Amino acid sequence: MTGHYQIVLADLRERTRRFGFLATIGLAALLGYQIVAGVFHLRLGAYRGVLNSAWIGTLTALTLGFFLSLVGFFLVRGSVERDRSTGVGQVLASTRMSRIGYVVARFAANLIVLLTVVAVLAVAAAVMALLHAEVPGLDLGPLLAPLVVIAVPVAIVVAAVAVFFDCVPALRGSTGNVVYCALWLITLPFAGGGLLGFTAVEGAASATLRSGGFDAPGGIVLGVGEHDELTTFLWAGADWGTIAVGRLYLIVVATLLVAAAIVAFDRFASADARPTARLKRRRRTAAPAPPSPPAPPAPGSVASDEHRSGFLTEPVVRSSHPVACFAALVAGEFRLLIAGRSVFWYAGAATLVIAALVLPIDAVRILLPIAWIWPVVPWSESGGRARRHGVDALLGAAPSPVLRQLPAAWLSGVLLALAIGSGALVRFLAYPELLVGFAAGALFIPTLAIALGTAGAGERVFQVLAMVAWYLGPLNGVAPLDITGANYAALAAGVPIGYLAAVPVLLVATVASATARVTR
Amino acid sequence: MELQILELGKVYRRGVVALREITLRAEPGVIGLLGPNGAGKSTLMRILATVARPTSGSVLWNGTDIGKRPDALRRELGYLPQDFGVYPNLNAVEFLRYLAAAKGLTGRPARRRIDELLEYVNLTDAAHRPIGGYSGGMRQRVGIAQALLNDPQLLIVDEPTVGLDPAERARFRDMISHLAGERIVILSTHIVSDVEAVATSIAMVAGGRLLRHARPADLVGELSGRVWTTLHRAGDTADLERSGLVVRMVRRPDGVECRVVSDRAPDPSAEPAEPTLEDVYMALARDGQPVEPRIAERA
Repeated sequence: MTGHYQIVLADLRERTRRFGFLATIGLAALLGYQIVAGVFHLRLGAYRGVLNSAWIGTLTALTLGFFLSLVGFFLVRGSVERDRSTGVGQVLASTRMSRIGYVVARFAANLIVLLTVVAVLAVAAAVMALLHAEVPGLDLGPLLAPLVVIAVPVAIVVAAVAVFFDCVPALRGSTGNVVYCALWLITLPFAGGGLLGFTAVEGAASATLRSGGFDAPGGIVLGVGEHDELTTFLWAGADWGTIAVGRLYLIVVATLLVAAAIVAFDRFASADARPTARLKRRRRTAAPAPPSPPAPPAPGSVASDEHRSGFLTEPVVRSSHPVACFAALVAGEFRLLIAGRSVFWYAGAATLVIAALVLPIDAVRILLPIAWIWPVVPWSESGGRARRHGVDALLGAAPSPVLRQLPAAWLSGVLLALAIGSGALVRFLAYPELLVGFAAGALFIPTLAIALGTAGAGERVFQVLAMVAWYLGPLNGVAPLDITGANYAALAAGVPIGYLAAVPVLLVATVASATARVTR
Repeated sequence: MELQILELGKVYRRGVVALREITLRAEPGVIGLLGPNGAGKSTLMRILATVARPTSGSVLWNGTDIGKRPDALRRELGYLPQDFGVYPNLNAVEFLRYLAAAKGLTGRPARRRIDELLEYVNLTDAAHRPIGGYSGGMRQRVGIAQALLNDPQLLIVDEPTVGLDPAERARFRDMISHLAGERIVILSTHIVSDVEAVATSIAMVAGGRLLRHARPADLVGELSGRVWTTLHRAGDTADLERSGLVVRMVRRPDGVECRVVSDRAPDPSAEPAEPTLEDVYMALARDGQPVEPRIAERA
């Protein structure tokens, strides 16, 4: 037990000393401030609760649940992968550590980190109750109860989902990030209300309104903006005990997820060197073991003549054509983008190209943003790939590392956009007005990816931004986020042109950022 | 062909001093950079490889300040960092082609050079396997191959034999010996035998300072008549450690054979021994001070 406690403690120390943790706590504090400042509001149709401890607690709990369900996952995921990549996992695996103990310890560390965020927001809610309450006074019970009943179960589930994603091989790394984002976006509209507590609060608040003689209030909305025009009602809180019982299924879900993670956890048996089936086949057909190297010379001696005659006789010829040299570099960068993807990834990309060639043009306009979600993982690695794999020192010692390698990496990203969007591009040639949207997407998305990667933002930032923009823009018609102009309103408003204009700005910032890194 | 390091200094954030006014001149041959962990060797290598900048001083490559014009050196530079990575999904040929393109080598000449290098580092049979499946030694050999891609005039290798088996280490030393005639090779290591075998001169670094830069024979000669071996009973070496620097202890059935650096015999039974570079290194590594003055103080 002490060993597992130490695993949790070491994990917490490692995480809480990272910039990402501090940034998230800062973000939570900012969120709390915005709640305090009244930026967020909660309403039922045309009604809102009077700002008392109970309403402030409910508002904070719902906001926090929403925040934790997305940002919280990315805050805590990756601890198992970190143990794997740093080699700490191999050391742990050589101890008596049990799979159950390790996974539960990781889950516990995830949960403690998320509960820290809950605690920050609880303090913010108390401050709000003291400073901005329309009913003076701080009533801790009604203030904290919704946090415990609504936000804490969300934290428990998110902590379990994160450890599950970390332990299931197919969900590790960037693929898991995109899958989680997609699941979050897809399930939010129909299951989010229950999971995040909105349905329970809506039911209780509606009952309160009806008992006060008000009309049916309509749906619950957590939003931003003015709320002074809303009619107020007195909210003394819900029957949190009953709601808590109704949310116990989330604890069961979390337990099942942790159990599944324990089953899936390989105890770090799958080291990087584990041969794939393809590799095994190659090994079987490979030539016998390499010949032994020649006998070493005596210390201080130089190589024998026989040795010299076979040593690096090939002259080195530098390319005199800068274009050929750059093209070779672009080819290398493009290979890096697509190498190592699964067969399904290539099949999906081919399907998207073919579908764009045969579907009606209006469907193609919606399909194109989906096609450009497909390479979100390779794009997200741009800019930070060399650093992540420890190749940056090798590239940094080559001539003009920024002015040659960076443009090649950027161009390869654009080429990938063109390749996967090629079906749509062929169709859009007959509709010239749509080409500006295509150009905006093909240029802006990979440029944003490499800009964030070069700035050291990490792959998750781009992945989340791309998924959210895709969901809100093309799918839900939020025009400012509709980069490709999939909806006519965005196209008419010139949104794609705005994104096109941002490309050179981002490129300049990327070059500046890369130069600063190289010349440290 | 000349590399000049002039009063080079590097101070990291929070005031951590990595290098202090290092001045050194290098001509074709192998310079062994020897020093304990944390001596500043890797920082010096990174500055020479143009991937880090000094906070003071300069480095001149054939008279050109590489701080101002790094590309003047990068075209002629081969660099094998201590901690380098690979792209695990590429095979060795693809990875080397990528780095060859970054160094300005393309087409058939690049392919031929890569084939030759892979053969030399004994990776031809594994050349088309993803590097992610390579052993540590194989990855190190890929690193050596990439450093030689552009036939560098300045070859900087930082702890190059880490992860190599004894035969591979010997082969690598052989290669360094061969290369040294035509170019400057800077070999950083704390494995004394690696340096002893190939270096034409040795620079000893500790605490960010250059303590000595001399030919191996001169360094060893400074300890002439000051190295002793003596046999002591097990657990009875405290007196010995007070009388000199114990650089090695070997347990034997009849006691502990100690090798001591001291101006006079540490005990009546001590016998003089031939000094080695390891004695010099151990004397340096113990307290990071130049060997000669410290011994002089004791005398």
